Amino acid sequence: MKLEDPTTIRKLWIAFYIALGVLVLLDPKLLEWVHILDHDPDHEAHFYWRSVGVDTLPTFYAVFGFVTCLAMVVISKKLIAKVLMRPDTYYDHSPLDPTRDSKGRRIRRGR
Amino acid sequence: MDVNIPPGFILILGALMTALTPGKAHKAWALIAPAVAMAAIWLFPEHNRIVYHWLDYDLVLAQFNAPTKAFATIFTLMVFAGGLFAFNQDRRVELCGALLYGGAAVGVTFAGDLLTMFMFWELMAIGSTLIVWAGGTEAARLSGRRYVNVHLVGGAVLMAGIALHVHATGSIMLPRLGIGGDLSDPVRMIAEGGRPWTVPSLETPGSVLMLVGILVNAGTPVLGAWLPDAYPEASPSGTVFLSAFTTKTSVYVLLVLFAGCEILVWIGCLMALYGIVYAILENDMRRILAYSIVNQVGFMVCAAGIGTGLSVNGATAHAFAHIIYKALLLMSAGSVLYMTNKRKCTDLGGLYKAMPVTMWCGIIGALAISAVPLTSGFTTKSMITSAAATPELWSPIIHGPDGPQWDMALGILHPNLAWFILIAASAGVFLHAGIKFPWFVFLQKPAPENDERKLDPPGNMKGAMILFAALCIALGVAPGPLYEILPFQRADGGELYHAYTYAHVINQLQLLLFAGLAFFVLLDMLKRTLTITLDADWVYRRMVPGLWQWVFRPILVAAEPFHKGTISGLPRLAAREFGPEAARARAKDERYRPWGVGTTVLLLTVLLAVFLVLNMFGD
Repeated sequence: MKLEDPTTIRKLWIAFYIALGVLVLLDPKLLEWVHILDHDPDHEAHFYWRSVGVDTLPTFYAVFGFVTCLAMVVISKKLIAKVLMRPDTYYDHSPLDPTRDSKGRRIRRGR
Repeated sequence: MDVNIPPGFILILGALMTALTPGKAHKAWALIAPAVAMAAIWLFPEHNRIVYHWLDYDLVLAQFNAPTKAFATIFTLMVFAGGLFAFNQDRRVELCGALLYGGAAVGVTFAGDLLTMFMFWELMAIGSTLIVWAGGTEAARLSGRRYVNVHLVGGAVLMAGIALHVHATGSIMLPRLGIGGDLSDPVRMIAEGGRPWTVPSLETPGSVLMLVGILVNAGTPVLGAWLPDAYPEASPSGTVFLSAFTTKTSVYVLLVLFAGCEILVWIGCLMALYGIVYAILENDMRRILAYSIVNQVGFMVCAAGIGTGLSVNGATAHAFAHIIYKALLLMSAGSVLYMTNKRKCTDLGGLYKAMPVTMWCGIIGALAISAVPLTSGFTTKSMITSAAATPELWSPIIHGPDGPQWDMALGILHPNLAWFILIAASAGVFLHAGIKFPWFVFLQKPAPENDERKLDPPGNMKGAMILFAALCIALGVAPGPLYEILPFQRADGGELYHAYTYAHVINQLQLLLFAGLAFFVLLDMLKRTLTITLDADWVYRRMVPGLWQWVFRPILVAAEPFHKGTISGLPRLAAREFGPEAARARAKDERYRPWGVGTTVLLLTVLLAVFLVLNMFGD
């Protein structure tokens, strides 16, 4: 079994999806609704929207994590990058790569 | 046994010894000095104060403030591990700088008054600049110059704030932090003489200036662009030292001086998001990690603003854990840079066979920074999010007749928002550091067929990484010893915080794994590009030089004839018109040789120094 093998990668993906599914099923509020878990007094909702506890909704964390990450990546890549991104030779002696000059050509070592 | 020495001085003495010891033996001080300093911290008597009378002030060189022990311990441990990591390298200046830097940071945590704190604060700027410059490249020289300028300006602003504060209140002492009956109560701050400490309400210009000066060091957006500018330019081991002290010392100072300052909640939230956005866009692996420092310090700054016992404990614990896993991540990145000479994600990848130890240590650090259960991030950062989940208990909330009220300048932002931002930022940490760092540095592309490269770094570097990786796990599995040195303890001596509840573990895993799903879904969009992302340092690297070149200088050049006419033409005209002895005056001019400005300044400096010395012995 080698890591570069496409079948290994597919197996890893399947394992990942199974883990995600199991985590959704293990959600504490969900288990409470189907009476597998007792009500945990330390796990009350802190934030309410029309008397629905937002932060204890089943899969709140999964959905919130996924959606905010999508939003953060899309906003930074599509919006902020458009305004602020420059080639890494932007500053003359680039802060990222002192081996290139302002036009992006390699500077020979030993100058 | 009691030890009566300010522990910071031991490390600073170590810096001197490092400078003076000949040959390669100087490296030993980087291990001996922190070991001795650690002993001095733990043997320092609980209620001891070392006071030194200077001018008209009683300077408290060392005393235990509430968060001192945790911060001083981790700073000293960090100097030790960094010294171990740097042991095979021969940059003497860097080791001197690191010991001075660490010693000054320990000095700040032990300082009992604002002046002592400020003196160590400035020493930190000197030590850290030495480390940046020890990077040795032209880029390091330039960025170190920017670094030191920003810090000197920040220090001057802080000093101005302290001066105004001392002038207004007549006291240089730090407040005493106390807590009510319960850990979720707001922290009570008592100034010298039993008066309430009013600095966090930002009513005086002095307190505002102090806050600005501290936020410069905390890496707050706009003021903190020096951080991602300078840190990646230091040497592989230098960055490890740099990551630990400046920002966390300012967190300490915020906790001690500004606990419960409402605006810090939003500054912290801004930092947490800002760090993520930039870390997503960056390509240089150490710049990614530098921005993730901003993101993590955001959590701590937010906790300082919340200002309850739980949040102050959380910020302290998080700073402790953060120094360890961030240093671990930067050691891992430093090892990659040291062995391969590559620093960009576009050039890296496919190292998983060649550097197994480095990769696994990096992954442990990445899991810890993402607060995966069983790592130190989970048992520490969760305190901050727990404290943020109950806004009605926060220190800045005013309990009026109509229930809890949010009465502040940024009142449009509902306090409930803070928790959602912090949770989103926790997910984002996994995205930008937890997966992105190991993925792009070690995995990303397949390793060469039959990869026989042995690129794991020398033994001392591996040892330092394994030490910190072990600590990341140990603090996650058994956080008890860390909880014991946090600022506030339960009156009944019970457990401070219980991270491992079923709901908490599952919810955290849901949050992180779905963030991971988002990463792999968007992998194409996250492809690294040969770019940098402009930060506020653009203002002094491009805008101001640009303004000078294209606006101010042309104006001056255009004004030159008028200027010349005014300073030389007019007097000459006057002399010709009114003075009969114009020629003689001109001859006299030629013989007149003024002193240079340099000589005058030197003379003045000597005179002032003489006055200072006379003044010390005067009364």
